[in-house]
Order: sequence, then structure tokens, then C-alpha cells
Amino acid sequence: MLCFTSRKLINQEMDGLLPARKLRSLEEHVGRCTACAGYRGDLERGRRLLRATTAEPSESFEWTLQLKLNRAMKEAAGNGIPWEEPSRGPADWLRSFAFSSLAGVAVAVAFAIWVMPHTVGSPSATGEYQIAETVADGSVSPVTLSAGDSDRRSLNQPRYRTLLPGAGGFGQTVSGGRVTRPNLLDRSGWVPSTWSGADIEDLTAIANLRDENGRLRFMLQQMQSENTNLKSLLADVEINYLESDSSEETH
Amino acid sequence: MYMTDKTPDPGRQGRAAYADLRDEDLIALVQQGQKRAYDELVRRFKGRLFSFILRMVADPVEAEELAQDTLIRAYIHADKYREIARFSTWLFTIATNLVRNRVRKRKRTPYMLNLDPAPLSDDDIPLDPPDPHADPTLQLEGRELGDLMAEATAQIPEKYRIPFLLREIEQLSYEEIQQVTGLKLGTVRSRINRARNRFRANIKPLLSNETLLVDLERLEAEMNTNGET
Repeated sequence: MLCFTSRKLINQEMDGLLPARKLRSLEEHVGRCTACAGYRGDLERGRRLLRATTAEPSESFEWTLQLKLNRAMKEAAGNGIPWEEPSRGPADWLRSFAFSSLAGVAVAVAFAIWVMPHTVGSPSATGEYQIAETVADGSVSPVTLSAGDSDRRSLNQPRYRTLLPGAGGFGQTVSGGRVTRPNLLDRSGWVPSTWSGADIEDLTAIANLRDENGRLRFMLQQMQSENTNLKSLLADVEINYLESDSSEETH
Repeated sequence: MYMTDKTPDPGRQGRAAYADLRDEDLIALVQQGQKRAYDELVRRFKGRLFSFILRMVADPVEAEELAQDTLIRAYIHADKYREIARFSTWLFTIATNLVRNRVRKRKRTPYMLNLDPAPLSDDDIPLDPPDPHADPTLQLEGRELGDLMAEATAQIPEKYRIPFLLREIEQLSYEEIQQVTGLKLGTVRSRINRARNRFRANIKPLLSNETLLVDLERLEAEMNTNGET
């Protein structure tokens, strides 16, 4: 047997995987070959050394473990396993894609609404429509459309109508020489013409409350400044009072 | 979930009630919510895990931390254990993955080398600094046997070291090592053989030292005594 083969068999023997027949021939070789005998002795001693020198963790190991375990359990109950990043399966990617697409569509729609030519008109008694148009000098000139202008009429149908008193008319939508958009969320007082009844009442109530809120806030600011003035006056009065007391005592 | 018909011995109190149960029965009890069964598993495996990880990362603090992380993972994921493998195999798979991640992370982090070290006081400078190339048998004196073994193990490349330690210290079978590492059986075998040869080359100079062999016999006797008690 060659030493190369013998050493392979020694490794198998160490793992208890050597058949009895091969073990006999190995023993014969090792009996004759001092190098292989030394090799086997070294491996066996190495294994004994490794197994004899196991280390022990510190005494605080168990209670530190308990603390960490409590923390990990708390986190696991709330946010999933703390040391693992949440896996991203196909469903997650699909969800992300759907959200992104929806966001993109929403942005596109918002942009389209913002860019869309916006004019506000109201029908006159003769069935004609008047729309506001900004001219170069910044003033607003009404443009009259006849009933025959069917191609433009559909665009210029009144899409919004006034809600708040004093909010109607073209002047409300013109500011600084350009036409501004009526916004349902601001106080311009324009609502879609399809709205009616309870919707408008609610919006009226909201608008009134906003105004009331503004008025009260203004009053509060005034009272706060008044309060500050009164405090400073009071401070002066107290000092004078103390001064007069002390002057009386000295007299 | 693996169900067990084994229950802690009602006639015995505390830890002793769980002492006779197999690891697999204990983890089944953990799955049923018995924290004491987990405590028993911790008692059984903390030293083995720590030793294994220490030989991989060569830093006791880091090794302790990783051993704790392994045991925490085992507790939190206890319901995922199926008795298709021994509990120890499952546990060492967790430990091996954690160690691999840590070693990989460490490789990505560059070493910070201080080019301007703080000046040492006179007392800190040895009068006769040891020669790192001196005879290793002389280095043995005054040093712990465990440190020498750790050093000899640390010089084995990581890919050989994991199956080697699992085989030599944990005494896992080749099939179990295959499960832990995900390697092919032939690869496991060849890596263990290579690691053995490397380890032998590393400790060869020490093996001729009589003191070491005496120490070894003393340690083995101590282990046997502890095992009997």
C-alpha cells in the first residue's frame, strides 16, 4: 500500500468509516511505515487536544441572553424579527409596482387639471356666455360667445358656481393679471355646478367656520399683545408701590 | 410542529426534571411554550456553541454575542424545527450562517491601522521582546493550551475550518455536516481531510513538547471527572 492511500484510509478510520478488511491492510502498512504511524498519531493527538480545550462562556452569558431574548421577543411581537430584513416576494414587488403606477397616474391627472385652460363663464340673459380673458396689460375683458359657437361652448359651460356671498364674478378669479384657478379647498367660493343641497350646506358651514376661526385667531393675537402690555404696566406699578413703601418706612 | 409524548419528570424539581429528555423532546416542549425546556437546551449547548464560534471568529466577546444570537433565533423560530434532523444539526446550521455573515461583514470592513500610535510608558515596553520566529515549543511555556489550539485552528482557511470543527469537536456525521454547510458529501470529506492536514502542520512543532502532552492528559482527566459528576 502506498503512503498516499494509507493516509486517506487513516482519515476514514478516524471517522469510523473504514471497513474491517481495509483496516487490516492499513494496520499492516502502519506497522511497517513510521511516517504513516506518526501521521496517525499526530491526527489523534490533534483531535484530543481540540476536544480537551473547549472554552466556556462568561458567567453573565445566561442573564445577558435572557435580556436579549426579552428585547427580541418584544421587537418580534411588534415589527417582525428584528435581525431579519423583511423578505420581498413577488406579491411585494407587485404591490410596489401598483402603488407607483397609481402615484404616477395621480400626478399625471393633477398636472392635467392644472394645465387645462381654465375659464369661468356665466350665461347671460340672452343665452350668450361671457368668459373672463386676460389681456396683455393685465386687465380682464369679458368675451361674449354666441349660441352658434358650439365648438367652444361645451368647453365654456359653467363648471363652477359661486358658493360664498361676494365670491362670484370674474373678478374673483383674476389676480395679478392672470386667471387663477378656483380651488375647492380654498376660500374662493367655487364649487362644481353638479353639487347641491347638503353638500353645499356643509361646504358653507366649513367656509363659515374657517372665517370664524380666522376672526377668533386675530382676536386672540390682539388680546395676547394687550395682555403683554398690561403685564409690563403691572410690573411698573408693583415697583412703584414697593418703592413708595420703603420710602415711607425710611421716613 | 413536532409533538412529543415525553414530559418532564414530575417527581423531580427544576432543571432535573428536564435532564433526562433528549434535545429533540426539549425543543418540542419549547414549541409548546415551556420556557424551562429552553433553559435546559441553553445549559446543554451554550459551551459547545461558544467553543465552536470562538474558533471561527477568534474573539471571545464576539463569540459570546453570536452564541446568544443563535440561541435567541432558535427560540423565536422554534416552531420551524422539524425532527428530520437532530436538534444540534439545526442549531449549528443557525450558528454557521451567523458566523459566515459576520465573517463576510468583517471582510467588507477595512481594518483601521493606526500609523501614529500613542507613546507607551517605559513600563509597557518589554526589555526583552519575544521573537515571533522563535522555537514554538518554547512559546508553549506560560501560555494556555486553549490559546495555542485557537491559534492553530485560526490558521486553517474558513471554508475548511467549518466542516473540520463540526466533525472534530461537535462530532457531527458527514451527512449532518452536509446539511449544515449545504456542501456535497465528497466536498465535505475532502475539506475535512485538508483541514486535518493543515491543523497537523500547525501543531506539529508543539506535539514533540512533553509539557503539552502532560497538560493534555491532565485536561482529559479533568474532563472525565466532570463528566462523571
